[in-house]
Amino acid sequence: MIRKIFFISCLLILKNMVTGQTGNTDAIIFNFNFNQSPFHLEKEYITDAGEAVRIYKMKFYISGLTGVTTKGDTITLSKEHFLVDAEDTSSQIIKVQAPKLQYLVFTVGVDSLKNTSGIQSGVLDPSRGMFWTWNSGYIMAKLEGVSSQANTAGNRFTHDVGGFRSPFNSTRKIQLLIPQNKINNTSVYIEVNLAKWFTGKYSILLTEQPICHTPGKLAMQLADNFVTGFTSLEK
Amino acid sequence: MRNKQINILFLLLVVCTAWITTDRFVFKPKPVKLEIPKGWPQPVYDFTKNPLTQEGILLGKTIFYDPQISKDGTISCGSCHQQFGAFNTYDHNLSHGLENMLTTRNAPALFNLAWQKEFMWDGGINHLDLQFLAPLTAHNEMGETVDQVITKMKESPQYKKMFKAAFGDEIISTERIGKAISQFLLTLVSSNSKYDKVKRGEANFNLPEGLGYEIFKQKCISCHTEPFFTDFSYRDIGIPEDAYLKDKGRMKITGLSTDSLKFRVPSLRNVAVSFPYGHDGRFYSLMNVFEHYRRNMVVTKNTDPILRNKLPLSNYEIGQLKAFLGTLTDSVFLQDIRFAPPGINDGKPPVDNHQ
Repeated sequence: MIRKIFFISCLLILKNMVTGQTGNTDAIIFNFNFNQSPFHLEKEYITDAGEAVRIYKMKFYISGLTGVTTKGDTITLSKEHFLVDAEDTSSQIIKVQAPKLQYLVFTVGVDSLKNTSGIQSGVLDPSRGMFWTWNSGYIMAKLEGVSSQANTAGNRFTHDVGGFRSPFNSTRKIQLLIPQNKINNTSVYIEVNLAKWFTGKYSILLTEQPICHTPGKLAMQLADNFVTGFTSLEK
Repeated sequence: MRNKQINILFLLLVVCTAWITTDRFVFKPKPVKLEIPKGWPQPVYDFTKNPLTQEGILLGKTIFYDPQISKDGTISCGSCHQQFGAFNTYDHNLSHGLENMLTTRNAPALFNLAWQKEFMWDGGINHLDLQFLAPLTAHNEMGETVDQVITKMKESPQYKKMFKAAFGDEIISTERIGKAISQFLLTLVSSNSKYDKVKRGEANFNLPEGLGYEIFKQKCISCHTEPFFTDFSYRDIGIPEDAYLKDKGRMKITGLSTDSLKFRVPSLRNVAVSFPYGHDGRFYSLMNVFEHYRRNMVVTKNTDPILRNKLPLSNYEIGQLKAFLGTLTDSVFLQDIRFAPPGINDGKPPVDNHQ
């Protein structure tokens, strides 16, 4: 009898996996824009502060992916870390298995345990260029490019945002309300407005601050700016 | 017909089982247990995440002494961490990187790392497995990328074999390189100095050594705490900032102005052979250090409270202290062939070419 029940439940689970229930969430998709214009690497944009920027690199980690279902239950979507890279579209799609979600909650950055527990592999491999070797810890998000306003060699600006120790913990938790206007859509779309990196909360001028390479006040401000650029849309 | 099928199936089963089990037999690294010296606390390093094995240690040692991991093939870890100087850079204030470049700090001696939580003079590196990344990637040290090192190692049949022996397959990764180097570094335990022998009841201090130990316990031990001869804290001991290096020490890591000019308290084990001293190697000799403490300190608001009045030391006390510090030299450690460069001296102890 027990075996029968087990067998039937296995079949049911399998069926769910294959067909997928209506309204289930199966992917979270990140999409970049620059003040609502489609974003392309190396293309010139003008920031809200009037500075011209061409962005060559844009990467950030996310972790602690959880969701709140339409029924109000909090569920863990993944315990993994993900590295979202503007250069790599496959990194912008995160597969999940969850019922219909009302809220999506995640952290931009790497959780402090991974910053202190030695060498990691996969997307957290230090060779991915998102790790500070001289001051152990991950770069949570990096935006690098060229701006004629940056008074640096090659007009390059490098904003590497990291730091996990208080008072300069640069990880930021984000909670997004997912619009419920269309049922049957199985992906959650997250728009990331990169114009907010410079002016979301604080106005960071590249004339004045083209370089961020250490945990500290500037990294904290850039982190605060960055998270104001995240919104959820249902397409 | 049916019998034949069963026979074939049976044969297949035997072959598969043999295949699986032989594979298991092939990967059987020999475990190594780190001896914890009597009276020492448990190590802080988590060995469960990186158990020591003979194969892992050998791989780590090979990488440690391999100059090919640097960009131009000239600098290995061992270039700046020399065994006869207790793995510091013997007689060099600042360590040397590729293309005649100097770093901004004195290469610290390496030993008893299993008991140390943070590394570098400013404590910026929070895990031993991560330590190699800093000198490897620094433009003025080895100037190489991890990806490039992995590429070079993949071209070497010897490395492939060694990674397989240590980790079970030929995959070479950042994590495995870090763990292998750690395995070698963790074996660098220095606990056989005369001081240790006295503590174990195997030897006795002579008169100046004994007197020096008493003075040490009054004047030095609060920071240079036994048995490691450091409390692993960061302190400003009144060393003024170098106008050229502009090294703020711990402040660079924490961003706190209260940490300006603080550096890790170095261990005094093997101190007699690990000159020059100080984070930038500015002190040529122990005498320089004593002079600094008793006369030359620049006391500022960050200077350690216990050194507000500098550290008064008489000539007599300095003499006895020097005698005691000499007992911290561990000649067994300095000549242990297990730590010497692979294939050097036909298994004989390393020679100090500087004498």
